[in-house]
Order: sequence, then structure tokens, then C-alpha cells
Amino acid sequence: MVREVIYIDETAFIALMNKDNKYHRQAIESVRTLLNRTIKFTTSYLTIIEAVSELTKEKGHKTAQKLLEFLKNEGIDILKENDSIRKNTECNFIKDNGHGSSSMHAHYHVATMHYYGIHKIFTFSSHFEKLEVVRTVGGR
Amino acid sequence: MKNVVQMHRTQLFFPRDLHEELASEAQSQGITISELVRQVMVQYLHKHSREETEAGTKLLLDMAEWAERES
Repeated sequence: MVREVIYIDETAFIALMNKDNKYHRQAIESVRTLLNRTIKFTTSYLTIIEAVSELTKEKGHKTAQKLLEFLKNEGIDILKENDSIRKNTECNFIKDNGHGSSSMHAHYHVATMHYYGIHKIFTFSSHFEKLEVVRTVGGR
Repeated sequence: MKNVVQMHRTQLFFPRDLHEELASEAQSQGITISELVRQVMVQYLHKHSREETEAGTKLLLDMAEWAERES
């Protein structure tokens, strides 16, 4: 029995919560393919803030609020942030200098995953394609 | 060549009555208490992990279902 840990970023939550999102069907199919595996799902509070902000813009307050309600249920662990994650995020963002994964929140996700020893991310963002340490679930 | 499973030695403390029950169960199965504890832990972790997976996937699929129903 090998338990996988998957980190979910905002693009996956947005794809699932917005049926007009171009990755909506793909997101559902991705989740269905995970059903027979042994997985612990994780995310971060920054991810939730990003997803709620974007869903408010795309679909309105009701949808954003519903995501918050869903996340109060069991099933997805919200990983705690700390100084090490913040320092690595800033350090890697500065080192990146606009190449590779240039978005700061992508660096935040990678720093969080690195801290918790997670190698898989459920995402529809292109920011992670160039990072060898991160394997994506979902695809674009 | 035989597969060698690396073991980590640990010490567990059980209340006397639980230890007696474990010893009795292990004896009836013809295995050691260590083996019985290993078997029980594997079963527990597997069950717990499956429950975690089911809760997570259900939550994600519920989100999509809600999105389709609402819009």
C-alpha cells in the first residue's frame, strides 16, 4: 500500500467550481481517475484565497462562498504555512528572475510542497511544467 | 535472492489486559505478537487511507456537481 499525497492548487478548484471553465470536464475526469488510488489531498490557505478571489470575479460571491463551505468538510487537508515556506518562496522568486516558474504563487506552492515532501500537484497552470521536482495531475 | 524487508525496532507499552488479549490472539493464529500488531496496523492504515481518498474525491466531485446544478 503506497499512499500518494496530492497538493491541489487554485486552478483545479476553479476548474471544478466553474462549469464554464475550459478545464471543467478534464478536472472531473482527473478526479475520477484517482478514485482507485490511495490518496491524501492537501492544499494551502493561500490557494483558497486565490481560488475564492478568482471565483468571485468569474462566477460571483455565491460560488466563492460555496467553495469555502465545501472546504469545511473532511477530505482535503489545509497545510500550515511557516517562515521556511515564506523564505523559500521569496528566495526562489528572486532567483527565478522571470525565467521558468515566474509567478510568485507558483513558487509558494512549490515551497509548500517541498517543505511537506509532496511531489504531485493537481493543477491546470503552465507554471509547473518546467519544474522537474513536480509532477502534475490534471494536465492542460 | 530473498527479499529482505528492513525492520525498525520500536517499543510499545500495552495495558496488561490488552497485552494478554494480544498474546492469546497471536497464539491462536500461530504468530508472534509483533506479527499480529503489524497485520492490524497495515489493515488500519489501509482502511484509514481509503476513507481519506474517498472523502477527498467525493468532496471534489461534489464541487463539480454543485457547479453544474447551479449554473
